[in-house]
Amino acid sequence: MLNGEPLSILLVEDNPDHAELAIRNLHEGKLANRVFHVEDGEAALDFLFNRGIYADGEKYPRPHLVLLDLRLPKVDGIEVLREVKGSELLKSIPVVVLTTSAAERDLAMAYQHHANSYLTKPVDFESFSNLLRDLGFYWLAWNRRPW
Amino acid sequence: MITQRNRINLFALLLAAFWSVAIACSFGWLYLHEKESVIVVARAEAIASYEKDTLYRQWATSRGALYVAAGETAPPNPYLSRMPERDIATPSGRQLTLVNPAYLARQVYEFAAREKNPVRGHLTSLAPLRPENAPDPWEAKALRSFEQGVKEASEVQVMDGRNYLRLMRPFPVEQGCLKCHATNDYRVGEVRGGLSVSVPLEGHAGFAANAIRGGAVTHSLLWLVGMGMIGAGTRALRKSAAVLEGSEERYRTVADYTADWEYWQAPDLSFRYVSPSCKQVCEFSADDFYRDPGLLNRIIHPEDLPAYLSHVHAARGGSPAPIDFRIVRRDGEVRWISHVCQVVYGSDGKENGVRAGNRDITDRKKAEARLQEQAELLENEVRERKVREAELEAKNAELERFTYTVSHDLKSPLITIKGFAGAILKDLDAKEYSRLDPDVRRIMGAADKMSALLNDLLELSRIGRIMNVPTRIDMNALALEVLGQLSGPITQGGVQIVLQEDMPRVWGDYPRVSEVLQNLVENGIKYMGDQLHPLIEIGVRDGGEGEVFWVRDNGIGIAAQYRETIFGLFNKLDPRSEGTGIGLALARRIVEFHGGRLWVESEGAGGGSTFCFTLGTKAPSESRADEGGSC
Repeated sequence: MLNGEPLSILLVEDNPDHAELAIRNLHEGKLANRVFHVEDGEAALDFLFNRGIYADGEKYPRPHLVLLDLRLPKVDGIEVLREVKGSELLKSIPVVVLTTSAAERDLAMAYQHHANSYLTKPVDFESFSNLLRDLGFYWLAWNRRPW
Repeated sequence: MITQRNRINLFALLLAAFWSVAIACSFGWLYLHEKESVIVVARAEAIASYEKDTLYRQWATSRGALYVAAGETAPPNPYLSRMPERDIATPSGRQLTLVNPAYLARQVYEFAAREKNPVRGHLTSLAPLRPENAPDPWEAKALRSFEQGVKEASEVQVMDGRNYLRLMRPFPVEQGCLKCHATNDYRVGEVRGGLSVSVPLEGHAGFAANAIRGGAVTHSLLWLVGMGMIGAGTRALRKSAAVLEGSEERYRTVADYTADWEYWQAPDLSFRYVSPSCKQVCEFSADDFYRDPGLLNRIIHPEDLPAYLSHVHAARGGSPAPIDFRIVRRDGEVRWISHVCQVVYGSDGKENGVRAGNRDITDRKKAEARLQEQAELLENEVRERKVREAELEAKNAELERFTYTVSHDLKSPLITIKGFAGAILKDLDAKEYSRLDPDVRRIMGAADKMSALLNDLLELSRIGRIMNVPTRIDMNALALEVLGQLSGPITQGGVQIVLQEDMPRVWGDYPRVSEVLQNLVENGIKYMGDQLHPLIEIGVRDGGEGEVFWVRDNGIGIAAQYRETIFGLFNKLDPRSEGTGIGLALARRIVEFHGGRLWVESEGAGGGSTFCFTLGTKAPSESRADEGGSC
């Protein structure tokens, strides 16, 4: 199940503390080789489309999973989702929404824009850790990718 | 209209009487005329007879005398016995005797009597030589009157049971008379006798009676024809009067027994007809209008008169639309009238005034007014309810946004706190202490953030609840005060401030408006970017919705897509910048509570930003300031 291919995750998270927590847990699971972290939607799109400072495709490869917060500065999560799912090149990348919001509206909006999964950040540390571990296993180990 | 028929009867009666009298007079005149003509004709006959006798006699007198064959019918006149040659014989032996004029006359008269000639003549005198020539009493009387100088006498007299017209004229003495009357001491020219003529009236009276009978028949026929015509005429008149009466009664009943006030106004504005019902409608009688046509315009309510007059004008033009107006009745009560009219045309096709009907619609108007009032009340209620609903909807939406924001933004530090607390515990278990310090700091930072958020939320909620009484704000003074409070950051950032002079005074909650300006200026300072010559200008311009105050900076600017995002609660374009991201949300909320708007204009990234706001607050007397505290 684990092959030699380097697996990468793009974490889009404006809260540095939350980003730190996520990265730590992802690293502990030892599933992803690389976790790229951007703080806003604009940076996320630049990264995915290899634009601006992320123009180098070797250095910033297409991620195998995108973890996307919804409330983001500049371009918000739903807009990022729309652009990714609207792009022939990127729409097959699984995008998992990981957000503080448990609001129905956000949930519905996310799925309407073809999010692959919607997760609410648990307040409890244990749950948070388990969630990220399971998430990694599911998407990177169990799940079969098209490429 | 019984009188009309009576009048016709009376007239017919008078006409009949007049006709009868006229016929009677005519007949009377005819009768008298005929009667008189009997005398006149008889007299003329008498005179003609007299004249002829006189002529014959005169002729005989002028010849001296006549000789006739003496015989039984003509014996020798004894009164000429003294005359020589009274009796002569013709050579053949025939005996002739002298006849003098008087004797001739007598002979003729006696002959006439024998021959049944109806006209009788008689030569007579008061002193006749011959006794047979003595006058009868009437002649004697006439002869005596001749002595008095009377020239003629005539009279109708009954003789032998028959009517005669008797005429007598004096007979002057002539030369020839003296042959016999020489002894009487007569002189020529003296009146010594008279000649009377008697004409029987029977024949003439018969003619007259025939004429009178004919006249009577003619007059009777004429009278009958006249009476017949009068009768027929009367009947025809009575019949047409009856028809007229019926027609008149029908129309009068229709016109008089109306509830509405109906009238017909002639082109000269006088009234041809006003229904009696006008008394019920306006308290004035129909006669009041007949006497004074101007009354109508005077009882129309002065406020409605112009509309009525223009209606009348339109009516003359032939296109009268119904109109409602008020009238002031004689008793001063104001009533509503619904007026309809139309131009009427005479049988000659010419315009003949206006036929109008006025209906009292006061009750309807009152009901309408009540309905209108209720409809307005209802409408107002609906409108108010809609406003309240909209307000409630806005509040609900705001509450939802607020709840969402709070759930998201307050939950976020909690996740950090619990997450790192868990991490610390895990590290402590593993006796791994290197990350303890930064993790604890993260926890403290998150707690501080939460505290700040809670404070801001409290502040935000206060804006809705607590509002100071609006005062007249000198915006220049307010700006100077705000700039004084921000002198630290301004100096630190090296920001140049330009403040427009003579900004207008506006009504508002002074501390809150200060807060708005402070937030905007702070925002400008915060997002200067790497501008070498930071500049913030404050001023006012005239916008469509009143004065628009603006705060312009030459900082990083805002891209078009974020121009609304920045006003969201706890929204920040730069996650690393200071503050919770409540400043602009707070400012907008304050401005909105003032009834104004807050928005941003920007050339985009790098072009600087201009924050603009209006304050809709009015003077306390005209605003709902007393409700501000409970909003």
